[in-house]
Amino acid sequence: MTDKATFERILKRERTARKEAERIMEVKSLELLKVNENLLELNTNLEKEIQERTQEIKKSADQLNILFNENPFPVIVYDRVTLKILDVNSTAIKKYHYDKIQFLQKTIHDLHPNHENKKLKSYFSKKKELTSSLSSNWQHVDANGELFDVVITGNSILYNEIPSRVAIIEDVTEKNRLLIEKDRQKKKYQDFIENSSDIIYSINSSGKFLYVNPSAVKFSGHSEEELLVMRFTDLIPEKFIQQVSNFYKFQMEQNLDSTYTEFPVLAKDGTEYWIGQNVESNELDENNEVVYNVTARNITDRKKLEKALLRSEEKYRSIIENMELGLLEVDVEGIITKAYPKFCDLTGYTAKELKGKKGDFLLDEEGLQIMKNETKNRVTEVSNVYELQIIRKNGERVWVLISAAPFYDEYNRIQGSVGIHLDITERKELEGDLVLAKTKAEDSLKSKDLFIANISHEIRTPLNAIIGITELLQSSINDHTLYEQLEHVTDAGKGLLTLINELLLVSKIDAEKFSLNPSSYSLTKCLEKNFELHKNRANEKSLSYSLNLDLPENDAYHFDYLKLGQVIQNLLSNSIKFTSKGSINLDAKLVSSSFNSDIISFRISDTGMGIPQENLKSIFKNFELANNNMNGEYGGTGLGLPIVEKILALLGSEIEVVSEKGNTTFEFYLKLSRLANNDRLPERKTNQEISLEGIHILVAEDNKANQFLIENNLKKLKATFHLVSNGLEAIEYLSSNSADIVLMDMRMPVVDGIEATKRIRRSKLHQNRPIIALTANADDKNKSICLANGMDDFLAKPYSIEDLFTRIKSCLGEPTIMKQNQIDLTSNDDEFQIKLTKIFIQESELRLIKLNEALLNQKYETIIGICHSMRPSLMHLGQDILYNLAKSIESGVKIESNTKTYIDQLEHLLKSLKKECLSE
Amino acid sequence: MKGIVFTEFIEMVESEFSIKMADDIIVRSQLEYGGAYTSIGIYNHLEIFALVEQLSLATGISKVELFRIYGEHLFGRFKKHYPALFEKIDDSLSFLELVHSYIHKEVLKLYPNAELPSFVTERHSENELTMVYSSKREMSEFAHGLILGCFKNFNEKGKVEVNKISESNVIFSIKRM
Repeated sequence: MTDKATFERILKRERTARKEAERIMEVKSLELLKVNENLLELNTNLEKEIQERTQEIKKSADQLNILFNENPFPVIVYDRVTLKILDVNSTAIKKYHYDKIQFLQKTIHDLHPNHENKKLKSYFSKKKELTSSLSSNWQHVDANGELFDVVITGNSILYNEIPSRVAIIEDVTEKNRLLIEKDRQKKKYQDFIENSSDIIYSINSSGKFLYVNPSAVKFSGHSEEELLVMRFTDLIPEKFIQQVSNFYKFQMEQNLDSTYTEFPVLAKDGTEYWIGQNVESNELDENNEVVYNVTARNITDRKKLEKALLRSEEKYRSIIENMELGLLEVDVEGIITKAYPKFCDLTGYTAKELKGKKGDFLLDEEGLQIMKNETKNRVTEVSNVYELQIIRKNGERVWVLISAAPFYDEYNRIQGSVGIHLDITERKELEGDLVLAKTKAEDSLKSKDLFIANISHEIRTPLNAIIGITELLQSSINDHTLYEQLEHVTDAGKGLLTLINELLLVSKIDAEKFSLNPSSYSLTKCLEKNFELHKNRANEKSLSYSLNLDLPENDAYHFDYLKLGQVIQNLLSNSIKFTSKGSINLDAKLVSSSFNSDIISFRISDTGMGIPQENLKSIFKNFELANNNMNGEYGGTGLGLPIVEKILALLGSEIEVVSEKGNTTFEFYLKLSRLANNDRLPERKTNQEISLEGIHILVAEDNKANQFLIENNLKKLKATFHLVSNGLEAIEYLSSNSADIVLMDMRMPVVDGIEATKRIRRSKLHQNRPIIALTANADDKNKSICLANGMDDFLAKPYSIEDLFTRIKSCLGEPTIMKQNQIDLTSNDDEFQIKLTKIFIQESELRLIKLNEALLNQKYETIIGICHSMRPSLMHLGQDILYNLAKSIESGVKIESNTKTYIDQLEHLLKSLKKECLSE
Repeated sequence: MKGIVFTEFIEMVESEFSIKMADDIIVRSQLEYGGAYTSIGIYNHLEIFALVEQLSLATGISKVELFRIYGEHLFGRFKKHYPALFEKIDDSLSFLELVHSYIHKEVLKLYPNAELPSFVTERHSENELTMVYSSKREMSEFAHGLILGCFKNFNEKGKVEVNKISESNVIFSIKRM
């Protein structure tokens, strides 16, 4: 079993454990003792502390009392439930003008104005349970009824065991007013900035945008959001960044309040603008960082102007300095203020010698007088130019051209003037020489002309004698050889006479001693006579020689028939000379007529050798012969064609020549005046005698000008008429109306004259209705077309009122005896003309557009149509060139180039006509 | 570790086996202070392992079994020594729930230096409870025994499933039968 050693071990363990337990117990006991002592001490301290605390509480209560009564804000204590006022401080009594007793009879509600009742009700129903401090905005009213804004800070407390609230009341009326005012001011400034046309923004010290106004946004092209993440240097072109950065670095380093600088910026779209900006750095933001307020303005235009100004200034300076011009500035008194080097060179004085002196000593008497006048003028005129002589320091005289102009100060007061002096001594000398030379030349020319004129005359007399006597001799001898020899003398003499005659003529023309002698004469007679003169020569050469005239029956014109004869003769003689076989034709034809004149074309054509192309221009020069006549085969003075040209120029025409081998044509037009009324037959019929009174006429005409013309004529003839604008309208009119006679234009829109006539003829009623065709194409072909299509007669535009009368009468079976213009249109000619012109302008403007378009699209039919319808008006207006152009176009000649010319001319004509109409 | 654990253990060995057995295992365990334990002292917890190991060697009963048996035994002794802790507690699961939240707090008031294991519980139903044991002492078997002792003391029957995450972290799924 258990041995002794074991027990001993157990015993030992027990003892050890007991001792250990006792030790622990002792430690614990000591700890307990200590705790007990601490408790005792605490107890003692507690009493003392209570005493101290009581003291403290009393003190703080006193303080609170002071705080309550002396509080600068009114303090009111009220019952949380009944809202009855329980206590108020003295500030409240002062503020509300109630005494304490009055206060204590009130509820807190009584302090509010009536209009807050509702708000109060809801406030108290919601906030009843809250105990924490609350601020709210209310209005209170005092004993005197004065309202004031208050902020009430409330706190729940127990007041004498009653749950109450302490309300601290702050009068914020003034504060609110100031706040509103401040807000208003702030808004005003904000509006001011936002609406400013100036660019306004702020940046921080690293250049970041903090604010940008709308102008800045608009100007930069970036949105506000984009700008606010940018630096203002992002907008500056690369090469300016350093410069601008340095500038603002300087501002920052030097702590400058405000700076101004100018530099370019790039808008978003890449446009470069110059801006001038003010930077102010007097504001600190909430992080105590400097904020830079920037006001900038677009100065691009000014910069451009500055640059341009600088450039032009430089340009002019360099021009002036590089010119041989002496500049001199003088003040209002004429005292020299500055003499430029070139002026010093000009005068021989130094700038120092000149400055401060009056310039008079540089001038002689005459110069002083000129200068005096010019200076006087300078006050009223801006600048002037004059010439005078300057006396150099060494006594020499130089001619100078002076241009002087006043210059002004910023108030537009004359400060003096600048004179520019150009040395024109050489020019003056040359001028003198020239005048002398010119006089001499002119004198010698005159004497030459005179000499030729005289000598020719002197030679002619004996020459005529020689020729006459020789011809006498010839008629009285039978010796054939002798006869031949005398024939040579006659020929040579005649040749010489021709030469002299022509020379005389040319010199007369050149000396302007040649004038027209118009008289009344029959053109046919004139042409026939001159034609006959060369008949023999043509017959001698076995040439077919014919005269073709297509002139009005009445061919009496007022013209210089001798001069015209000379032209015809020269041309015929020329043609015969250069034609060895074939034919020579002289054609004269009426091209157009207006009220008092006709245009006649004259054409001389031959089948001769022709004129080389390169000579066509020179053949009209004095003494020039075509190259192919260099060997003198054909002889001649070379004065024939020049004389023709010169005479025609006098007659207001010019000659055209078209030549190729075997066909040469000379052509010219003359506008010849018909005989005035009083030159006509003595017996004249009166207007009544050519009246169409009682006759009703239907007129189909689309052209406004032609309508006007015919209207005018028919009114004069006292006919009644109805006007339609196309064939269809004519047919329609006749289906329900009647007319004694129809005047039908050939070319019309919708349904033309021919078609309309055919259709009218289909109706039994109008089978025999007289229809007269109106057309600008007065040729036989046209005429036969009209007649074949059932028209009765044919009237070529332009027609005279007599024509119109005669045709209508004859169609109506009432023949008239009319041979002359019988109606006096002069009485209202002017008015008529103006009206016609106005219609023409109006219509032509539209036609111009159509013509241009048709030309562009090569619609030649349209062009021809337009030209056709315009021709009569052109004729009436006497626009012969245009008339002829229109005619060529119609006949298909060089349509394109002619139309171009036609358009140009027409534009030109319209311009001048408009001017005329306006001036009238 | 509180001395009571050791003194109760020695007493249990003495009464269940013999005084000689108790002495033997103390001697063999070569303990620092020679096994002179007093219930109010504090000793290295490793000594209990040494003692249990020697007891296991001497008796052939596994250490696990010995810890459980001791735990079951000790619960009974606690009730005897600290009846105040058991007042107002009528059943085992309620007691177990209170170990961590109430009893250990009371223990700490008496022994501020005590190093107590953590017994977090979760009640699933009237009769089901999960208790998570975690302690660096790694004496989950001892805890197991205590749980069994708890049932025994309240005259209830229970079933304990042991899920050993590690020696220091063990989940007991406890079911009252």
